[in-house]
Amino acid sequence: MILAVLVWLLSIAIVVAFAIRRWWFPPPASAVGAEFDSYFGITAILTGVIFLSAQVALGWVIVRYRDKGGAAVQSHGNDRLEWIWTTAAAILFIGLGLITAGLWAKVHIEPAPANAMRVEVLAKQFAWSFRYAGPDGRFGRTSIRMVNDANGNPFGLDDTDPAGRDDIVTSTLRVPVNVPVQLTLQSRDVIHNFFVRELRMKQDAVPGMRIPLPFLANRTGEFEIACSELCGLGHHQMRSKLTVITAEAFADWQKQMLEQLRQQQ
Amino acid sequence: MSGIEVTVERPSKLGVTLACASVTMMFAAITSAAIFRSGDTDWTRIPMPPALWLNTLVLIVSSYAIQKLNRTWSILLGFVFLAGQGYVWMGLRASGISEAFFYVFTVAHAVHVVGGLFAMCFVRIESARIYWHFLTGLWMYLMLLFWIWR
Amino acid sequence: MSQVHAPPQGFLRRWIFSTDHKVIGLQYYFLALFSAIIGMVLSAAMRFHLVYPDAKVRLFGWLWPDGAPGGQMTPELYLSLMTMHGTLMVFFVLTAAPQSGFGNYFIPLQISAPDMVFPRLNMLSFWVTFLALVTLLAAFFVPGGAPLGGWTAYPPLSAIGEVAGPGQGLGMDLWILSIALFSIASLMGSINFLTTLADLRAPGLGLFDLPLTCWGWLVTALISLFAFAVLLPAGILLLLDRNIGTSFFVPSNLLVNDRLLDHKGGSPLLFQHLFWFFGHPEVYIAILPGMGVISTVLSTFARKPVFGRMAMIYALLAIGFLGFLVWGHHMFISGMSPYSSIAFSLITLAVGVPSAIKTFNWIGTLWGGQLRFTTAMLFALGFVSLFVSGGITGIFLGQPAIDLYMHDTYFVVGHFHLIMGVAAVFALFAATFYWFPKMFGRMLSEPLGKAHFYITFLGVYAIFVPMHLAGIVGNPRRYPDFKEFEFLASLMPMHKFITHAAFTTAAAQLIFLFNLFYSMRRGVPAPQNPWEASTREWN
Repeated sequence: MILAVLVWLLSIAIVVAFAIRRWWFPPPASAVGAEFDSYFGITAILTGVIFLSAQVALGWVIVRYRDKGGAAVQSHGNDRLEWIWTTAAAILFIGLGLITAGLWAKVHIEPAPANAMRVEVLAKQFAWSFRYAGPDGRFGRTSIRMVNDANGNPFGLDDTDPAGRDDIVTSTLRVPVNVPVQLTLQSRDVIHNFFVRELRMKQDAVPGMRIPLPFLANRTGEFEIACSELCGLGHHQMRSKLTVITAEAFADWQKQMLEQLRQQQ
Repeated sequence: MSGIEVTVERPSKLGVTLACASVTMMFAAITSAAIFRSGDTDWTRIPMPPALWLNTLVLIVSSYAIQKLNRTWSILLGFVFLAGQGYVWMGLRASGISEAFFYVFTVAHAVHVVGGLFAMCFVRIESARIYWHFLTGLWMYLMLLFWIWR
Repeated sequence: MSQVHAPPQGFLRRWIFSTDHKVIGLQYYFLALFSAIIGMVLSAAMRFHLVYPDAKVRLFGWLWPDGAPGGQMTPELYLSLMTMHGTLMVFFVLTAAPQSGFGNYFIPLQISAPDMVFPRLNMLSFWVTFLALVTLLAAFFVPGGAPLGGWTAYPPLSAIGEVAGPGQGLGMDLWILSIALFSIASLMGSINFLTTLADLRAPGLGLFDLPLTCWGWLVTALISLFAFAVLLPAGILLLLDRNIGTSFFVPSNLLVNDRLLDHKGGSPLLFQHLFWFFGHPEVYIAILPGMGVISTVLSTFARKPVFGRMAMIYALLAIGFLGFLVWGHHMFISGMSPYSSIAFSLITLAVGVPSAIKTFNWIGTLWGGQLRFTTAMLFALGFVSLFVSGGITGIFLGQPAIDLYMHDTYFVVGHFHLIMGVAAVFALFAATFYWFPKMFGRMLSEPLGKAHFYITFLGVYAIFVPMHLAGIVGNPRRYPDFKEFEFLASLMPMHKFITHAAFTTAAAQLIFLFNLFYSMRRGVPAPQNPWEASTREWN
């Protein structure tokens, strides 16, 4: 009896804790993010109904069929019931999977538009670096032997390659709003993970692989980048920032960075 | 000690068969790992020293011996096989991933052969026989794999 | 055959190097209990550090002079506690107790066999498991301490030695060795289980007449037989990468801590495939024996036969089979082919179907019954509730489109702790209360048991439900503290709440321990069949 009441109260408390959205996603910063939220909502409602009905039913049988000294109704089962709930569960669960597969395809299978701005992302213990191709639109050659973190060359840019002269290397990511961006993730040591909550986007950076990750931010703002794959004792400090700014501000920033580069050379 | 092991023949055969199934799974795992890695650029030909053919023959004869319930010859030939494998391993230089897989496959097989030699001394011969034939079959599978990748 | 051998004489032969299935079952049970206590203490230390990251605790400094200088826990110590917590719980508690512990004790009794079919192999399995535990715990005491790569031990972090962090040296080698030993022991155990169930059944007891407990152990043994056969070579390849310079998993041109490593060409994803091919079925290894126990306990205390027995058996088989086809859902964001993600996703959601069948049938078993709320029954009912709560969130995680946010957040931590951790542990508690009279000839205290149940039941919900919410906010798992990120600051009150709930729940386990050890010697003597159960072990 007490258990039934507990199960009911707990289930209601759990549903309320989710429904009030006090602990929830940050507002999305991309169309994909908004779509994610709606799919999450569909899944949450569907599973919420299943969750509640199962817990309520459990509580109900506890109350209804507690020992009152009578005889139990003997039954070995009911094949028709088995078929009904098997089919219902199969349609529900697999159908849900089919519905959201479309969103997955949009993020990970559809190629980025040809005009997407390309940015290379390099992860290492325990920092992020970003590289822009610069005005020539080409990334310079890199070599692991040229890497020099102290001199601000985490990618190992080869300065004999003219294509690399205008490559901008930064420690935070800055992109213009409403412009498609194609990130290429790579890692220099162990597996890391690029996670931006507002974009609803998470992808491992695996050494030895170059993994594409397209996105389009549709509002300006500053968002935190968190490493989400255990990478060693500084995992929890591997933080960077994604700054989404207007196209004009981005152009200004790029001009300023190129000026700095020219002065250094 | 209970007397079950010696009074029941069927379970001991079933136990050995299950062990073979599990070993098969293990080699399937290594095979799929090798297939996975063989797509990478550093994959080279898997070495196939001629002595392997001789070792194959030794193992087959050993299997034949145990089929005829000749424990002594079978064990003896098992040792010859291991010696032959030792000769092959000494002659190879581990230089890349393909050689590494060659070693993993053949050493894993040899470890099971050692286990089989123990089994032949302690387990009922009808059960040990199943395992020994299985190891011969497994070896032929490996040879086929190496031959494809040679 | 039918003649039961006389118990061996002498303490060593009877209690230490015993070939008796009941003694071996108890040995596994107490090994798991010991591991669970260590694992729980580690999690308490972790929970404390998460909410008081700057606190100096003399006990930490005393236990780990290098990892907690002056009592201040370092991130590397936190991560090594986490790794050891996961490893102890997954292998030495959730695999050892439900399967090897209760399985060994009750399979022969439930099929009227004199013992397991290979008693010496059985003894060997236990002692190899014991050696694996000693090897694992030894990692705490070697230079550098225990490994910090998590129980999943992904390379390159786990494959490149001390350069990747303290504990990744000798500690990591010991970890792999321990897992390899454990795999061998499990393989031997599953051969023994399967052969016993196939060949030593009492005359007339058909395979499909076996109680559902035996079916749980049977399917679990089948899974173990194939899953551990994959984990073992994966561990060996990892050892080779670490110690003789092969490159199965470690790619070229790694620059770690300013050191260029000379591995070439390996694939980190290959290890993940091998690991999860084992790792996902492992989840079912932990839970399937519990499902069997729950079916039996519910039916006994509802005074009804199990509803839909055959459907339950098919569901067990379906879960066991599908379990081998879904490993990729741990790798949606790993960089593997996005097409395969969709296939893995659909099969994963299909696992929800037999799980739903089980839940429906459990409720069907209760329906129309006359329920007696013993402690064993309470834990079984609690199991059903937790199984639903923990299982339903799998529907979120099984969809790659949703996993691409949820992966490696506290949502996942909450999910798997509820379903695989707590639900499986509830099944262990139910089994303990149910079979204690058979095992020790005495009854456990019911009032103490009920107090323990209610606190634990509320406690685990209080711990793990908020974790889901933290995951929705985006809280990554495996962070030693939450100081670096702005968005995590708002979650600190919640984490404090979780920590308090965790300490309360942990304290409640003392009630259980007291009950267990007190009742073993002083409990009320048990009648022959205290629960009026119908399976063979009581007659």
